Amino acid sequence: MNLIIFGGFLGSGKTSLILSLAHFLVEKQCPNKQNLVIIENEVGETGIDDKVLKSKGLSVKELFSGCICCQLSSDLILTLNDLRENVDPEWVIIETTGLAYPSKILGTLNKYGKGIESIRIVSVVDAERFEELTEIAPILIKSQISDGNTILINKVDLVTDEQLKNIEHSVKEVNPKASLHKVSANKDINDSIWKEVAKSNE
Amino acid sequence: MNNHEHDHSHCEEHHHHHHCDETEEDLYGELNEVPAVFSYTESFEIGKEVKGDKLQESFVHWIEGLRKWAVENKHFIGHIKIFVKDEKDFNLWAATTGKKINVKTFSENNDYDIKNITVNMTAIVFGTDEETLKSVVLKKLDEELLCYMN
Repeated sequence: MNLIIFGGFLGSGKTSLILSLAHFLVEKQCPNKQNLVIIENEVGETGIDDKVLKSKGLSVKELFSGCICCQLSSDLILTLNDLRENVDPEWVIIETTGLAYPSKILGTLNKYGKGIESIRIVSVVDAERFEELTEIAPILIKSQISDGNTILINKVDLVTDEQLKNIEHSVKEVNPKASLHKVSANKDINDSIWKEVAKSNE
Repeated sequence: MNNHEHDHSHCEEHHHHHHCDETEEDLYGELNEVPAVFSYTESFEIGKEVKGDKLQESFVHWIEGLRKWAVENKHFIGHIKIFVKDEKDFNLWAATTGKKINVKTFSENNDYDIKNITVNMTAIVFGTDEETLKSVVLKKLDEELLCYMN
């Protein structure tokens, strides 16, 4: 199993980007939908994003009422073990809650995960709220950025060029090693970005 | 609180409010680090003839009401999102982070009277408590749906 973990604050656009990645993986990488499973983690008792993903015919496993980086870390391992034994998908996309620290999830997976061939973290940055969020939740936002192998600055259509330049600069300061892309999830995402994310698993 | 209407034109250092009289609390109210989370699922029987477009309007209005409530009370919206569907083809996803409301539908045909709907919603809001959030969410939903019930 190759894991792609999506991190990023609440409302940053993770689900929309996952829909795009899932479409790419199903179309270009693994035509059999059983080869792709999405694990949807939400802090609320009711899932919303899982229903959006399911309405597109995708296979979704739900982990609700907590965060897989803390309260539900063992549930994540149990879910992945169950998937490995019963489905053995090539790809598993994990959508974290917007309050999650991806590095904590990575720590759990490295310690207890089985049958995992690769793990890649995609961090989604909300360009529209970047300034506010870095004031309100600086530690969380910094951590979500620094944990990413790939960083997608989303909603670039909602900020000025000057703002975008500043965001890019701030992101690079926190995580100079990550591959950085500017996107708008409401529009088509260039396949080359998803190729890069998927390529890391080859 | 992300839609605060504080005028920054007089602030040279907007980021840190160095030259503003307002403190962060003035701008944003009391920020609790742990957000209030309210999740809700309920099915409704629609007693009157109503089509998808009209229902969509009401649900978007519901979200807008919650957004305004949060802004007026200086709360910070983590995310408010809903997914509504009927037993046929109607489905609606709408969400806001306090800015504009994003709406997506995956329906092929909304041109029929909707009989039953299931509403799923989650609101994650900083600066308030779960009881208050629940009360506001349900009150505003009642206001929107009452006209469709017998």
